[in-house]
Amino acid sequence: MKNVKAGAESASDHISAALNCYHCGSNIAEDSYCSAELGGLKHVFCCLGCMAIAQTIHGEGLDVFYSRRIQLGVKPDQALGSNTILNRLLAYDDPVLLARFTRPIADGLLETTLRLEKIRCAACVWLCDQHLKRIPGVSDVQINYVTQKAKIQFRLEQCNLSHLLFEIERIGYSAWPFEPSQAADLGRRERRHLLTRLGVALLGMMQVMMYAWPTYTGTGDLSQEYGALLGWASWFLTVPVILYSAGPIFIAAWRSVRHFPQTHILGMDVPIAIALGLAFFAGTLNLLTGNGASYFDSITMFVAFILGARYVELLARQDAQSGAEALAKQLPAICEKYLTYPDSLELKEVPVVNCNQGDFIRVSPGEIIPADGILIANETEIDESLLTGEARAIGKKIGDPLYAGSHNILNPCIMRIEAVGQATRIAGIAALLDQALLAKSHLVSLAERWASHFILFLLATALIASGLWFLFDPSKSWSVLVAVLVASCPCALSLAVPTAMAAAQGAVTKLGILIVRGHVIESLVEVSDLVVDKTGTLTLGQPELKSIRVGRTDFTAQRALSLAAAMEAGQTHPLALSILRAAAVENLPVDNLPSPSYGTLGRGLDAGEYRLGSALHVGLNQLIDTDLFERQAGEHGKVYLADGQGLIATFLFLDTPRPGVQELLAAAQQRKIAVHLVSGDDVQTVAWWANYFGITHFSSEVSPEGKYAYVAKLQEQGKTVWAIGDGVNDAPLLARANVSVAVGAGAPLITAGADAILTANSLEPLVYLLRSAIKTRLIIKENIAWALLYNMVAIPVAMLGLVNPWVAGIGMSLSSLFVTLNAWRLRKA
Amino acid sequence: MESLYLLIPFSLLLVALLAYLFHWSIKSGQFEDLDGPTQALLMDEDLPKPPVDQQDQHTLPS
Repeated sequence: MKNVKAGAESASDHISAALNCYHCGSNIAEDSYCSAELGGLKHVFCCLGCMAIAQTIHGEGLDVFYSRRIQLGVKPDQALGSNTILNRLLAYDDPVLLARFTRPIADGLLETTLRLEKIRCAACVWLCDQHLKRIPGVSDVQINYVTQKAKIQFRLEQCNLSHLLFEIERIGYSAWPFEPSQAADLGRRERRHLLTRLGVALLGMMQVMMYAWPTYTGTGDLSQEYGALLGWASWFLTVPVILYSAGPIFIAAWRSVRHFPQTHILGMDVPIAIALGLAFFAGTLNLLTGNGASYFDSITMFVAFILGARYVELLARQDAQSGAEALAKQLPAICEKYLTYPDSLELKEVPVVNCNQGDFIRVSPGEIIPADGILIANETEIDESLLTGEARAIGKKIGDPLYAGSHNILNPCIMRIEAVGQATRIAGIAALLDQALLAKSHLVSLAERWASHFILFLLATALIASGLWFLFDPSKSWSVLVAVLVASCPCALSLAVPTAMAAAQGAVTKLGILIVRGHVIESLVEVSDLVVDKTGTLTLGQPELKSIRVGRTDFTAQRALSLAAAMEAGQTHPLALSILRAAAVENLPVDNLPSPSYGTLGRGLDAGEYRLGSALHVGLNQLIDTDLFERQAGEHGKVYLADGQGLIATFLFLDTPRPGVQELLAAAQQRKIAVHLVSGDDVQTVAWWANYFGITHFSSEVSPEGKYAYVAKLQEQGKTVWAIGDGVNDAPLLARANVSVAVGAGAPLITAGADAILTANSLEPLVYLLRSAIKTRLIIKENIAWALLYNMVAIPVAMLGLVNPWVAGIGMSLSSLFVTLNAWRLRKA
Repeated sequence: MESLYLLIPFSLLLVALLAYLFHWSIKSGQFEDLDGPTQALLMDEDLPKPPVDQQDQHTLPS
């Protein structure tokens, strides 16, 4: 069933030897190391790959990397020792792929963006940067530390794409070309524009407040002449803030007014634009007539605050991507194609886009299947967890369908392509996701609902008051109009929500939650049902050795484990890794094997008389031992160890629950949120886990479409659904739910559908998210209440003509400040 | 107080200069990556000796 020698990567860090590899830090057995002298010091390495990397690094004088790095390296591919560019990379020089991943910038100069992987610390970024700059033909390298993307300019005649990728692998990292997308470009421009606008507003605010200082402190000796001078200086600074920084607000407000007949909603920008416009107009008029306050300090401060909140929101939103873009990253760009199968077995690495239905390709173990197709030769096991949520690897026989995006974990297999690109099943899921995102109703925020009514009420009040004054005392009519409009501060109302949101977002980001869509915090409070996925969400989807049952007296559990670990050394199967981990935890000595272990295709391992693997492999079907054979509900799998005299031990594996699940369920219960477990896994397993966690509503063997329908049904019953999931199979579920959280940032496709991404390993931050949402709601209500209360006092007073515009301006600033400071309390989650 | 006639236009010029510098720094991408350059500064140019205890671990007595 499992355990075949596959791949060169190994997790054999359990061997308790005194020597550690200089590059990757893994333990080295006494007799199998290589060594090299670097700069007068002799270093040992676990493999040729590590040695080649260290030699490359030393050869360029970049040794300082080893003392700078914070984490040890990852064990590299053995092939690095041979120092030739692999075919896998050479395929990137195909004109089709080259045109897709590079763009010409000047004559002969190309630019490409590579996504770097295995980067662990700043020293890694530095090493890549230094190494790439030393390649002949490379003219510029820029590595972004945050996004781990490298922008490289190179000359095609001296260097090519495969060479660049190879050079990165040569120092122990891996890279893949990143398709430049228009969306990313637009996003960057939008970000830069908003930041410039914010900067101008902040500068204006600081300087105008400086000029306003004499007015604040009321040093009475300021003559008319100097007052005018300061006023005009402020005016000069306010003009760019109004025209440039606040420009988009006016445009959005105008659009909102123009579409009012259709939408019947006045956006939040309308009151903001009216207040800004009026305050600026009144301020300018007062400046010209030489009496009254100028409000310029209030205007600039308000613009700076609102742009600051919007900038934070924009940064968070841009982390989301569209489903289609994410899909491209999920699938490999190249594959191994048989040129004339079955006449010959000649292979060529070709871009997947050049493959057609009916082509034959080979998929090696550890690789992602590039297209939908049918298995033609070599039975194998496929990990489809990303697509179906089924945690266990699925055995595939000749003629079984294989799906793009799933992972081949056992044997190299040959498949015939049935569908490529947009016709694949994974593309279908991505399309469903995009559709769900479009259908997602726009949530009208609390403040917007209030503002729409408020602004109409305000305009009416101001006009009535002004009209009444005109009848009694026309000279005061104008100043009352201005005072009412300025003093009644829509600013506090419009700042109430964005500032609270920005503060709460900042707080939860520190806990490992990235909020992508702003409504998360507002909607979480209304949630009535929580739908969770099992594999990868409630559980880690990673088998953990739970118990060893020894069937014979001449073996102890420890001996059996160390024997199994010795046989599994160097294997990459999930169950093998789990055995190795367990042995490493117990710090067991390595058992000597009578002969090196070798794998039987897809079933298990043999070493002398010892056999390790499936029941079939160890020959157990003759034995009748019900206890050992009984399938444990909730189990992840079993591995048997036997020798010539029969069964020695059974290793039982369980999936591991994710930390923090109990806390989350307890918090949900407290809020009276009904929890539903919806999984693609089989009935037994789901029932076992539901019972384990104490979840009463559960549903098993649900397809991605089924999950979508499950949520839709709940929503039809008037429920507000919160969904948590991790796999691509959860993407439609997450997109459909009112609020969704993707666990782990691993699969790009999944994060596209989610409203928030949990990057922490534990689910516990979600408890804080829920708590923070409740607190944010409270603070938003406080802020709105404050804004209304303030207006209820200020408007009548202003209508009576008791407030001069100067006091109104101060009031407006103070109420904005109060709202912002109140929201700031959320930063401590 | 007459100095205000000089100082205020001067402060306006200063703000204009700052706004220009800010615009230039955004345009040249200095706000795209706020962590990398701080680290790169520490990485470059100086070559400290590897710590002694690490040498023991990774090096064979020759």
